[in-house]
Amino acid sequence: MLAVVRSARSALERAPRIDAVTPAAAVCAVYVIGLAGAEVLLLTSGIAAGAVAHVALVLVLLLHATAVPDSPYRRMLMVLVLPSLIRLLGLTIPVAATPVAVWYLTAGTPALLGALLVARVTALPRSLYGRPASLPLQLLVGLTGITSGLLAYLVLRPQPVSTDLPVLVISGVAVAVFAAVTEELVFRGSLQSVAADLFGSSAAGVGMSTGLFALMYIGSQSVPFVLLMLATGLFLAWAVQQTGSLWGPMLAHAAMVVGLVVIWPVLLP
Amino acid sequence: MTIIIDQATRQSILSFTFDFRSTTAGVALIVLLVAVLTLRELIRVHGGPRMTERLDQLNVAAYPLMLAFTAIIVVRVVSLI
Repeated sequence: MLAVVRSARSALERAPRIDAVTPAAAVCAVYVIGLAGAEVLLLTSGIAAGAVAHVALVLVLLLHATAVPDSPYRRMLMVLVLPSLIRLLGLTIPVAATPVAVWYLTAGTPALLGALLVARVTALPRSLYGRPASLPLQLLVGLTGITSGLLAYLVLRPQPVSTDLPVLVISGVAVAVFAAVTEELVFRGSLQSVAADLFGSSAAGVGMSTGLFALMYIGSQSVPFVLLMLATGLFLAWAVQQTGSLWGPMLAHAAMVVGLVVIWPVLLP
Repeated sequence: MTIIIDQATRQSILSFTFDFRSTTAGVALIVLLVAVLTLRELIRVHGGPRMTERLDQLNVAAYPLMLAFTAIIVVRVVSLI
């Protein structure tokens, strides 16, 4: 009898410890699946259904975050609000009759505001957006965006936004600021740092930011493009992890989207 | 093409009028704004001093939604003029 008890006790001591990380991971997985479901609903059932799904997700996340004490878990819930919020802003604000640059300006301004507010609430490390340790290294990372932009264009082949140079310049600036900067702040900034903090692993931060980044490109309706964004997101997340700065990835992302949206459609019709 | 304006969003902007989008997705956004503002007020009134930090959290959604609401109203008013 005593031997049975002792063997059971030693078996329990050898069993993996279920700590607070596992429930947090499970809950985050549920929210990510919910986000994927909302994106798929938007594609398959239309604007109204997709918008309602994203609204429900934002509301549940905010209520959940309100009920949880201050912790990396709560900060993660706050960050997960942003993808749905960005989707809602993009669907509701732009006016078709205005230039594409105005779409990015009008939808991008509240999105950038949301990203900055989340960065403040989640206490984004200053080292990520402060002066980088090596400026040449950040510029080198930034240059990779030219290649990824060209590859993205070859996969997606978008139409030119305009043939007028002033319009192209303004569109490029709008896309660089309101798409690239915002998205890097959200995914490689807040999301990656909070996920690394919550799960105690920088690899978890890289994995989560990369996965969610690629997920948000489901709306491109192109599997090769999503895979390209997965690879690009992985590289940019790795660059942030290695260099400790967001500047290189911001430059790379800006070069990529400016190339994809503005430059390559004009140069390579 | 970007997350903010991806291919599906671009198609929605070009295929549906602003009127349709503002009365479907726009209404959903406004309902969310009202819910967030209501939650803020409930926390402010009943939450006590420890809950005031929660207000900062809700501002993450409240301020962008208020900007979006303003944009929607401005466009609809301009279209009426």
